[in-house]
Amino acid sequence: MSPTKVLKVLIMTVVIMGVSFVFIEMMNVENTSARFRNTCVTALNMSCNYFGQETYKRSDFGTVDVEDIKGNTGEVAVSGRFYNGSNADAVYNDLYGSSYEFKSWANRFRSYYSNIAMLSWGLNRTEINSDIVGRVGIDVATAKSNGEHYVNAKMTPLNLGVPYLDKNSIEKIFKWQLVKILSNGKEENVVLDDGRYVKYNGFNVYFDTIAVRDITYNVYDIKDTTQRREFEKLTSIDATKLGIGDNDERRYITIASLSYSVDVTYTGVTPLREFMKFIWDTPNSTDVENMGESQTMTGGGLTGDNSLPTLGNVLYYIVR
Amino acid sequence: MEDTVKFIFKTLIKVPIIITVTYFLINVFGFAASYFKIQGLAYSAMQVGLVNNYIPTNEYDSLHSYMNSMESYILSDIDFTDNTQTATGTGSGNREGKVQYGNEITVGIKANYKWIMPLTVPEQTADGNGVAGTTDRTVVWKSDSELQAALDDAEHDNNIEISYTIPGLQYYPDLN
Repeated sequence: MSPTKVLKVLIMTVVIMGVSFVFIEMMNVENTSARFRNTCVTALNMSCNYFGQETYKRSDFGTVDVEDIKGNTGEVAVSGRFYNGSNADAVYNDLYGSSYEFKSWANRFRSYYSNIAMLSWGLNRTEINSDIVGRVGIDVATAKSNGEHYVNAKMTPLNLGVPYLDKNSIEKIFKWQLVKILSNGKEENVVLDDGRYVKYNGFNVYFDTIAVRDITYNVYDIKDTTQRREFEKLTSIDATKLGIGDNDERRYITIASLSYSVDVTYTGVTPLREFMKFIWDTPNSTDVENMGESQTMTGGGLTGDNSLPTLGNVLYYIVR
Repeated sequence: MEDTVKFIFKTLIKVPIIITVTYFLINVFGFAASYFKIQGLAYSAMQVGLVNNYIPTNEYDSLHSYMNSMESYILSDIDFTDNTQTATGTGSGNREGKVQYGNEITVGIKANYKWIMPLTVPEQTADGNGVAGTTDRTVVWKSDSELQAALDDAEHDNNIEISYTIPGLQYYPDLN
């Protein structure tokens, strides 16, 4: 075989390898990114459901925490403790009694829901508007008494049919669930000694950056045509068939919209990076060495710290 | 003359190589397509396991029905793995029924990809290809049913197996 032929065969082999790697990486990114997004949405949905179960009220409080997620070094990567407090009363007080977030939420919603006005009085002694409780046919004194009973029974807005989600708790539950799913039950997939991320099909998911960015509450009056249409667009529920009267405060339906973000970086499932380094790297060039780790890569929506936030929204509502 | 002989021999060598390479490429693409199909199915099963903490009977039947529709000449024996958490599961290491929130469960799908080889001869049986007019046979032919039983007894090594270990995300108030 002549040297020319050998060279041609070598070049052809390199080209075929390179093209195959690129093809495989493209297929992987397409498949995995769609599945990853669905997994995030599922995990966030189930976080809301789990929060709604109010497991901290269990009589055997000691079983409320779940198992910590450990990383490849054996240390704890994500805690299985979702609530602050050593018993149900402490947790309830942390979530509703002393929470600034809940107070500002209740200030807005007590004008729509008499039950929230009563609960707000019971927790924080927020004055009750007689018009609000008058809608359900009770006076202020009775409403205040009801509010105190609500607190004694550890009633929450969810128990009263109004969605309120504690952002910190949802975030902790979401983070734990997502890392547990992505790690596939293997501690070695949760890397702690070379950064802090979970390896998932060529992606590095930085679990410290998993966050519920915002929980937005919108109230829809289903007796108003425009708002009813918006509500139907979001939920596919025909509100005219719910049988709710004009004087019924159930006409106000609150939808909580959660947005989350997760920072990820794609490192690949084939030796494409090493392959490209072999082809392009020279003693004086560090471009390929820094590929994926510096701000020189453009077009992929990378942030300054080289990871790509994945955004999405989830809706949570209760129709009484 | 010499050149002609050379050409003939070169061609005789090239043709089987080309055929082998072609079948190899067909198998590569066939395997890749089958793998992605099974991967999609395994992901769907995983989602069911995530929100229920096991595969409930209705979803199990639906997925099984879909598996049966996916089976073909090259992709067969599609089923849940032995350690999949189902309502009435059997097999070593399997825990039956639902488990509480946070407990790990396994959901997996396995399948067998049949490699396409050149010059494959279909099995001949007494029912389909009997030797007519001969009473003194030195070879005994199996019938179709006997052959099928022998094939079923043979071990099928599933060459595609995708399994997920996931936490159950559903909280069941009736469990501890």
